[in-house]
Amino acid sequence: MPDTTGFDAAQLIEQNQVGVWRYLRALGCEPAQADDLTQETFLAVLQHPFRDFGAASTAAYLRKVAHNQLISAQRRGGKVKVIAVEDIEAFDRAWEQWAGDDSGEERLEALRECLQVLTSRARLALEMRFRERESRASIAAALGISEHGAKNLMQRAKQLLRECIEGKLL
Amino acid sequence: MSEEHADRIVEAGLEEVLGGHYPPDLTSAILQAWEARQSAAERATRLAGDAPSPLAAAVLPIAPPIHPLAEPVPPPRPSDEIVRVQPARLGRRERPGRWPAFVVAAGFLAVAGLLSLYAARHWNQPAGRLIAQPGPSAPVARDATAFRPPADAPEWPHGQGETSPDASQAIALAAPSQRAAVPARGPQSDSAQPASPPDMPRASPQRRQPSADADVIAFINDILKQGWREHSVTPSPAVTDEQWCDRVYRQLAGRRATGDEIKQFLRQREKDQSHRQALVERLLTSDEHARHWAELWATALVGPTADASADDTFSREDLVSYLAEAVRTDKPQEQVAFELLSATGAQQPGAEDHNGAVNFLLAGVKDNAAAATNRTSRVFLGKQLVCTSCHDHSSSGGGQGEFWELNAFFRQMAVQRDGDAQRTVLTDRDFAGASGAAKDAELFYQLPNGRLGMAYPKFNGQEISHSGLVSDVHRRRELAKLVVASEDFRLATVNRIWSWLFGYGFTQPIDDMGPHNPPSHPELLERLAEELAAHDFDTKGLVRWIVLSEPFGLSGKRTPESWMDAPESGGQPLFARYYAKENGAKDSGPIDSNVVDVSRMLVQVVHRRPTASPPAPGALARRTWLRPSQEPLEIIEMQPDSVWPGPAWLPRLARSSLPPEKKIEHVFLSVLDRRPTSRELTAAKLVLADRLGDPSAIREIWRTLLASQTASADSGQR
Repeated sequence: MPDTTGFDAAQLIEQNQVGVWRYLRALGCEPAQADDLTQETFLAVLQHPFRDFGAASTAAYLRKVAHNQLISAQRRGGKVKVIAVEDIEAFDRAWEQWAGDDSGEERLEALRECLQVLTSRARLALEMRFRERESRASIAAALGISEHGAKNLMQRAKQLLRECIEGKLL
Repeated sequence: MSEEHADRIVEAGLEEVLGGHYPPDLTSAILQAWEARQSAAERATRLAGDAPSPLAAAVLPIAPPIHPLAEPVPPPRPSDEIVRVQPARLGRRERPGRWPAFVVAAGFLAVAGLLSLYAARHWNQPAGRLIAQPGPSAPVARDATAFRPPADAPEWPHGQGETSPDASQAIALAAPSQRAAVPARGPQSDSAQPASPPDMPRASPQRRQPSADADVIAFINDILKQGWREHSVTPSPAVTDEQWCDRVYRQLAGRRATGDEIKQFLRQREKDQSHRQALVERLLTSDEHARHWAELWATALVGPTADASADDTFSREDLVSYLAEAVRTDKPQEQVAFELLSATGAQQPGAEDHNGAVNFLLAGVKDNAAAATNRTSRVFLGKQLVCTSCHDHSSSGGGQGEFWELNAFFRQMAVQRDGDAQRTVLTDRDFAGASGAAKDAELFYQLPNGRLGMAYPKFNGQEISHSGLVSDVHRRRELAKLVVASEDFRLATVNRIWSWLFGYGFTQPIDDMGPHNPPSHPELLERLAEELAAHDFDTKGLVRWIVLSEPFGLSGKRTPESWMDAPESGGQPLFARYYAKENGAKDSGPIDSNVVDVSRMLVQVVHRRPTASPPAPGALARRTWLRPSQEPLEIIEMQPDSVWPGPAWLPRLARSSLPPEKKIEHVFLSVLDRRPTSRELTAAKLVLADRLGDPSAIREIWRTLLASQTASADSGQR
C-alpha cells in the first residue's frame, strides 16, 4: 500500500467517510453521486501531504474539499442538475452543529425515536415522501388534503422533529 | 441555524432513516483507486525521466467512479447479422430500449465485446452476458455426454432405440433391451423396469458399478459413526421394534401402523431376523407408498395444494396420479424428471393425448416460465436461482445469466387452450427470439444497471444450438437430457429423499446446494449419489438403504451426550438422533396461502415488539424441548439473531435503496418462490413501517416467511 504522505490513509477514510458522505447528501447529492464524490474527496486529499490538526479540523477540511468536488462535478456535468447552497459557510455551521463528533449518529438515533411522537398522518406523509418517494400531490391525495396542506403538514413535522431532537440531546 | 439549512439536514436524515439510504463503506474502493493512481503516477514519472513529484498524479485521469454514469446500452449482436427488432414480441423484463442508438453503436460495441470476451476468458469467467455471443456460424460447444439423436429421430415414446453418433462419448440409449444389460443391482433390486424414452441419456460411462445393498448400508453407518466420534457425540439409543415399525409406516405409507400391523411385524420377528427388511419391501410395493410419495414429490414440484397462481389449466391431482403411477411401476427417477421436463400433451384426463406429467410445467408456465425455471433448478438440481433472475448472487455464486440461460430452454413451450372442449395442451412452437431471427433465437433480460443481457440455452456451461425452430432442436428435451445426466441431479435427489426420511438433509435448506453451502457429509452424499446412478436411479433402493441404516432406527430424544447434534439451531446435522417429526418429513416446497396465512403471521410480527435481550440459551433449549409442537414462528422468534442470522445478502438488501415493495418481493421470491399477494404486501409493509426503517425488519420478514414455510410443509404432511 503506498503511503507517501506519512499517515494512515485507511484510518483517515474509515473515520471520516460517513461524515463526508452525509454532508454531500445534505447538500443534495443522490446516494450514488455521494459515493463517487466521497471517493474523489479522499483521493484529492491523499495526493498531498496531510497533517492531522485534530478531528474537527480534519472534518472541516474534508468538507471543504468535498464541496469543491461537488462544484467541479457540476461544472463538468454541464446540464447536470445544479445543487446550490446559499451561504455555504452558514450551512457548514448548521452541519457542524448537527454532526457533532460522531458524524450525526446520535442525532439520527434521536430522529428515529422522535418519529414516533408524530401523529400518524404526519408520519405517513413523511414516510410517503422519504420512503416511497411519492410526490407532494400523491401525498395530498392519500391524506385527502390540498398540496399546500401537505407541504405545511410536512414542514410542521420537520420542525417538530428538530425540536424533539434538540430536546433529547439537551 | 437557518430554517432552510436545518430542514435540508433533517431531510437528509429522514432519507437515511426512512428511505434506507445508508452511507456505504468505501474504504477499500478508495484505497484501491489511490493505489492504482500512485502506481500510474510512478510509471508516468519513470517514463518522463523526471524526479518524482507529488503533482504528477494530478494530471492523471480521475479514478473511475464507483457508479458508472454510462447510459444503458443494448448488448452487442453478432456483427454479421442485421438485427430486426420486434418490440411487440418482448415481455416487460426483456424489453430492450434505445435500439436506434444500438444500431449506430453496434460496430463500436462489437469491438468492446471482443475485448470483454478476451478478458472473460483470461480471468476464467463465463463469457456471455454483456459480451458478444458467437454468431450462428460459430462452433457451439455441445454436451460431450448427452445423446444427440439424428435429425430424423422419431419422437419418443414411439421411436426405437438409437445409438449415439459418437459412441465413445455419448450416452447409450435406454431401449428395453439395453436396460437389461445394465449391471445387476443389489439383491432386492431386480424388479422389471418400464421402457424409457429412447433419446434419454442412460448408462453414463462414469457410473460406478452398483454395490450390494448391505455394502451401501454399511457405508452409511460407518460414515455417520465416524462423525459422531469426531464430534465426541454419543448417539441416542435405538428405538424398539414397535417404534421402528410405526416410524417406517409413517415415512413410507404416510400413516401410523395399526396395532394388528405391529403385532404381525413382531410375529414375523420371531420367525425371521430379516423382518425389518421384509416390512420395507412390502411397504415399498404398496399403493399407499406410491400415493404418499407421489404427494411428497408433488409438494416439492408445485406446492402442497393447488397453486394459487395457476389457473384451471393445472391439476395437482392429475400430477399426483402421474407420480403415483411412476412410483408404483418403479419408474427410474431420471425418467420421471425427463418426462416432466419434456412433457407434451393434454392436461385433461381421458383425452387421447392425455399426459399427467404436463401439469408440472403448466403450473409454472406464466411469466415466461420463470416459476418453471426456478422449480426445475430447485427440485432437480438443488439450486436456488430465483434471486438470480434479477441480479447476480454473490453468496451462491450464481449469475443472472445462469437463470436466463436455463429459462431459454423453456421458450419454445406453448399452451393451447380450447375453450369449447375445455382442453389444455402443453406443446412446443418455434421460438423466434427477441429479434425475430429464429435460427439464432436469443432472449434479453435486464441487468441491475439498466443494461440488457442476452441469453441462449445453456446448462452448466454446455450450450445447445441457438436455433429456436423445433425442427432443429427441441430445447426442453435437450434440457431434460442435460439435467438427468448432471451430477447435480443425483446429489439433489439424494439430498431431498434423505431429508424426507430424516427430517434434515445434508444441506439446509436442501434446495440451496453449492460451494456456499457445503453438505454435512460430502463423502456420504456423493457415494449415495453414485450408487443411485449405478442402480439405475431406483429411488426405492435409496429409501431401502436409508431406512435400514442404524441412524434411522435411533430415538429422537436428545441426550446430554448428543447436545452438539442440533441442526434446528443452525448447526450441521450429525444424525446422532432422529430428527423428523413423526407426522411426516420436511420439505421446502412452495407454500400455498390457503395452508398458512402468511399475512397473519406478518401482522403478528408487528404486535410482537423485539425484546430487549434474547432468551438465555438454556431457556431457549428448554422451551424448544418441552414444546415440540410449538408454532414454528414462535420457535424461530425465540432464537437470537446469532442463531438465525439469515443469508449474507439480507443486510445488503435491507440497506439497499430499493423501494420497500421490491425488498419485500425479493424476500418472498427467495423464501417462498413466489411474489407476495396484495394482502401479504400490505402486512409486510406494516412490519417495515413499524420498525421505522430499521434494517432488521427485513430479517424479521425473512424469518417469518421461513417459519410459514415450515408450518406449510408440516401441514402438508398431515
